[in-house]
Amino acid sequence: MSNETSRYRRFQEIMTVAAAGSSATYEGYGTFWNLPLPELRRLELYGIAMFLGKDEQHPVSGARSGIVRGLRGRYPFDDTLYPPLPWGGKRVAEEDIALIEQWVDAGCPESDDDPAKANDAAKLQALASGDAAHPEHDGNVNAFFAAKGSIKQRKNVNALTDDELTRLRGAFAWMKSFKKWDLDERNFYYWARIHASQCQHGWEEFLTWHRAYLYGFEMKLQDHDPSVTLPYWDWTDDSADDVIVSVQDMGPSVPNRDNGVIPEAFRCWIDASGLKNLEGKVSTFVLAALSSVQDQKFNSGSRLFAKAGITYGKEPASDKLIVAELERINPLFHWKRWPGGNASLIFQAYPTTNDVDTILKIENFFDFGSGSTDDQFFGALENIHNLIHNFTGGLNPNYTFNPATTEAQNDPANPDDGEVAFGDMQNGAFTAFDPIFWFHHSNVDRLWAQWQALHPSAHPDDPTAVLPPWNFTVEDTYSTRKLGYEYVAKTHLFLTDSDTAITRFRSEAVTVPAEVVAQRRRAEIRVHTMQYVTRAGFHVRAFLNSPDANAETDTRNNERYVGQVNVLTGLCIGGPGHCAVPQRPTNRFDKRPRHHKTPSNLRFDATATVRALAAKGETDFHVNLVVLNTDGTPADDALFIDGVTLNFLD
Amino acid sequence: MPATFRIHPGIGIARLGNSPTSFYIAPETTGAVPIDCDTDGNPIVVNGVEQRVTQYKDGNGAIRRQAARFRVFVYDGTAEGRELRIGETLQVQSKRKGREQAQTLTVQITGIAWKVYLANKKASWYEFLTTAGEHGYAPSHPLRNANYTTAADRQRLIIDPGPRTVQFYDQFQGASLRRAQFDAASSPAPATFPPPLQPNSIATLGELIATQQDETNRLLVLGGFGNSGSMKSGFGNPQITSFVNNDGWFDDVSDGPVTAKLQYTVLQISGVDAPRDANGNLPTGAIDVDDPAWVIVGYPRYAPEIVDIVTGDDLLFDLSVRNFAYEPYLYGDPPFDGTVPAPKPDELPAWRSRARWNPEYYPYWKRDILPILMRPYFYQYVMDFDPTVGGYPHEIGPHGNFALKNLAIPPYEGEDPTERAQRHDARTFLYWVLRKDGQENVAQAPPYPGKENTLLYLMPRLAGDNPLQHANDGAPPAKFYRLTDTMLFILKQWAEGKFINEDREDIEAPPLPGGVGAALDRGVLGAVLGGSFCPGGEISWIARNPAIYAAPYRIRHAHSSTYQQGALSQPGVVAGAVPANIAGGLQPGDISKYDGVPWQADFNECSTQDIDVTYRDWNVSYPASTGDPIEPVVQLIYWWPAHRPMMVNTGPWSPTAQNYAGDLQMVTAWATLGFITRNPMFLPGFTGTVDATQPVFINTEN
Repeated sequence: MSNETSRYRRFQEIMTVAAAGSSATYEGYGTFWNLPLPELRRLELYGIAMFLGKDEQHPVSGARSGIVRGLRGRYPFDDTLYPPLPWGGKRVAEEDIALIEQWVDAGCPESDDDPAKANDAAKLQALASGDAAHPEHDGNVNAFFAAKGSIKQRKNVNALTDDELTRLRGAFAWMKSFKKWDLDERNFYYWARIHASQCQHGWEEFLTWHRAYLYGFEMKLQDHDPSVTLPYWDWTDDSADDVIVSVQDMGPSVPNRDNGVIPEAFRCWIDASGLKNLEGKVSTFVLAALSSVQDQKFNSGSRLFAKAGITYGKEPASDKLIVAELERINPLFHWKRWPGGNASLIFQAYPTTNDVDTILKIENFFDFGSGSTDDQFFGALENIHNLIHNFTGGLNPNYTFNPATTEAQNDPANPDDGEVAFGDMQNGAFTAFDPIFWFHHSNVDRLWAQWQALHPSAHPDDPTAVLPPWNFTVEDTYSTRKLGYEYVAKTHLFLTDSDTAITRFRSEAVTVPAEVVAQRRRAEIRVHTMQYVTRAGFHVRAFLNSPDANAETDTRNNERYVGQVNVLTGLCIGGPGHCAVPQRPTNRFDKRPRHHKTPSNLRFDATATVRALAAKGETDFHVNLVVLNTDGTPADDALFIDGVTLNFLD
Repeated sequence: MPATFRIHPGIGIARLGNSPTSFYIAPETTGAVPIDCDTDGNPIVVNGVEQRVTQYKDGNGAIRRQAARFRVFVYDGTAEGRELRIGETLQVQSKRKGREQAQTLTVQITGIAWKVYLANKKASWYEFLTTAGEHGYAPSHPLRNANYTTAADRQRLIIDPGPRTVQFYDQFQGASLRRAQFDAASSPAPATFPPPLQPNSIATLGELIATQQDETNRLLVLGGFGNSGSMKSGFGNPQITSFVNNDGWFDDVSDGPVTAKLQYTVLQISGVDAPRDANGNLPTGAIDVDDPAWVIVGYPRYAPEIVDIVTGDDLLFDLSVRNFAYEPYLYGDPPFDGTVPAPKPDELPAWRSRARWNPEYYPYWKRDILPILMRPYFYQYVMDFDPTVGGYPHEIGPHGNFALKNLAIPPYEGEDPTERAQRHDARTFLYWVLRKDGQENVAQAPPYPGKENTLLYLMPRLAGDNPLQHANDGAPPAKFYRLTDTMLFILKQWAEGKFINEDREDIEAPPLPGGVGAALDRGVLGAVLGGSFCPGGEISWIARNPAIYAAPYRIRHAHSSTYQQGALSQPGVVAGAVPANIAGGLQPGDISKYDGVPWQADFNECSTQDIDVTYRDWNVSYPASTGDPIEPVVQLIYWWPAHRPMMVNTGPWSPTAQNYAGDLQMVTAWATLGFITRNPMFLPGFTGTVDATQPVFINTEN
């Protein structure tokens, strides 16, 4: 809209001019003001948040930001710890610093006429009246939930966006970076060892103990990146896959080991960075062989070697470097993982949705989730889980039994060395060293959560038993919501302006492939953080794919009509501001009960509507909301919300 | 605002020498060569630069003394401060007694009267028995010269020449007060000096010289001539029977307070012109400096440029950081966001309970880290790391453990991951082998991941405060030495990659707090031994007791009204004597009394030490009680070779044997030993062919 240079560009110009002639490297970021904006916003230099910081829920203010303090020469850039910014350059005028401070306060927007920031009244009105479609939010959904005080989503690993997958891998890499420090609880291997020494299987604490285990691990991931959760590996997604992929990997001869398929997120590949890192460290032959399979994804590392034509074991030092590189490129990949096995025994390990439905119908907790302490046995879920463990770990094709030694497994203190007979996922002691373990168990946990929803009063025998090594009891784990998460396969988020009342809402269409509709059990429309309003009651109707839906649109015999939520409100009994959106507690000693005007959420079950439309061949879906007064007229002062989501749940 | 005045350095260091007239001035930065001066104490200045010493001995081969130089700084508005100029106009707060409110006087400074009181209390003090006494002496702790029992007799064991005052120029007495001797003849009251001694008697503890340089007046303090002797006569005397406690012996080491009175003419009183007297003269007055100083006399620094692993500056910096909020962003009251005000002096006890290390403190490579890392490298010129195979464990070249090029680079965005891992490993390894708190009795480092088969010694592999005893012998053993907590923290941050390389960021590290004056405080102590203390070099373990300090780098003075010449304090167990009282501040001689007597005995023997490491739990052992025929496992460990060199250019530095006979020989031999100085080949201006294989430091003037 404006032809003036944006504050973002001005900031870059100010820095470029002030830093002219400086050779400061700024921790390797160099002219950091030219970084991509999302990276710039999160940038830390020498431990100082320079702009908004990494905590999206609590962005740093302009005045407190490192860049503004640094340019002003305020602590710690007042020569107490560091000289003022820019280092090696010229000081910046206060007028320019004030502009940068405002820009940081505004959230470091790229453009000053960003619709979400610039209060473009006409555009907001078009959105609130349904004349314009709300775009899908391309940012991180969990960051939105965290900011709104909602629980976060554990998603289907196959449905992660690139950004979510990158953040997930970053968090795993971060935890793995503490490998050398055995006792550091940020260390991935520290957590893996807990399974080796404490895991509970074959009795009623199987599900509860692992829920607590995953919770603690997920909290660690979130210490690094609060938007990361543990996605789940829905085994049924892969049940349609068969040996074909393996044949492609391995050529015509498929042995009865190392032949199975796993989701793409866990596979391995060599990329340009890996080839560059290996340059000069492995032979030119090996390097050329690796480049022949560049960016191809493999279900196991040994299949990558085979396809590239590298004989594993011929040059152990070279092999070790390659394996390390593969595990670096994808921190979710694990070398000691050879999925597959004999076809009749294990190869059809993946359950179908029907199989899962069958076990979800079990009524007894113990039959479902393993027997009580007095009557121990593997329940149905644990049984399937065991099969996936064995399938995923598989047998090592490079292992030759040596009669001279009876050691089939390597040194427990050092799980990195030596050739092993079978994959770590087959081995209770080492299973959690394979990152896929966490996603596998997230799925076990999800199925239990689903089963709990169907059987809310069925619990283990001993709810007050403690789950070592944590201070959780069994019953503390019953609610995933209390632990801060729920399972949602895929979410499409549409942000709304919370200060503008919505009369009609329309989202942009999102493409949902037919197989997703078929596989997902439920579809849901959610309206987030609806503010309390002081007026008469009102009604919100939801439709799918009805761009013209309005107060008059027929709801009977309308297959696009999803449902109606009825809202009870009322007049304010207090003074001005009494019914405004209450502040969330900022003080950890605030033990007062939930404020009774806390914004609420609305939910519409859209499963039947989605299925009906999908059956007609529709693959693009968009959400429509209509807000009505009780007399059926449009309500234009009733619905104030932060966003709408369309969710697909397994 | 009214000015306040401090003497810098807070602790000055003079050094003994046997040259009757020649001396030089103490270095004022760590590792620097001392400053050369003429026999009146005027520095040799060329093109505005004070010249460095080139000869440590005079024309007759006698060792030149080192003068401690003191200056008065004025603080009037900024924390930085500047040196006081004679003739400058300032505002001061009048402190006349009896007035309810202080007046602000506008004054012109006319001169500085310096007052120093040196004493040596060694012969009157307790015996040195390792660390016993650091937290108070047991009632049974023996006194030195215990056969003298009355307070009066024991008072005469103190070398007490009384205070002296000097002034460069006085309006009444002119230039006559520029020098003063700490001898008996010029004492204001009856002085106590020892009787004639063998081999060398003591006639003076030193001298004061007031100097003028540009517009400033400064003080030089000279110590003794290195004379030590025993008052015992007869067959077999003089005789040394202990490395620290020798009854009948005296030396001329000393220490004591340095104060200054600033003289002025009053121009205005509370903004109104001051009244003139009948002769038309303005009123005059004098004011004491707010923060006085201390002088300590040490023995010669034979390797002036080779820095100890832990210096007196490191010790005081650590103590000040952890007790006096000296650098509150390094160690202080969280959160470290600049919002926590600095504690006032009476808030320090509570502050100490809250303060902690700032985990986000990024030390600077050149300012904080490199100086520590370079020290072990230069030790190769004063000791032999590995006499059998000649290893160089501290090599700084590209393939050494201390490959500086690698160690200097902090992690950075875009760094090659392999290089990052290598650099991380190189730093982590060096930090790994450093001895940490609680490992004072452990010789070997735990296995390093990836080098499990390499035998690693904890560093520094130097003797600790008490390697002489087992726990059942008395004081707790501390067989080996470690860096200060602050040094370890800085190196830990560095090891973790949290540090800044100034060159890579195009910046100069900000100076440490306190400005030029504080830099003098620290720099002067850079040449002082910071440990281990058994009993030590210039200072002993008393130096790490926060109670003796009034402020960072500043010893708490006993108020001058609480003691007088001839009645200095003595051990509390001596009936009728004035008891020593740390809480009341220190008196003359209260630092050096904790050292050995004569200093030459301890100096000679603090070279290497056989340390018994037979058992991991060697702290308690009574093998004789069961007739256990153990073969003790003993390691030969150095003390602090930068202070007491051992091997120089592959030969022994001192001809003295490591026994009492050698100690006695050292009583005179110290004046014949060489100084280890930079090989001229590696000095700027050398025009010949440089042979890089030659040692950087060589023994000269021997």
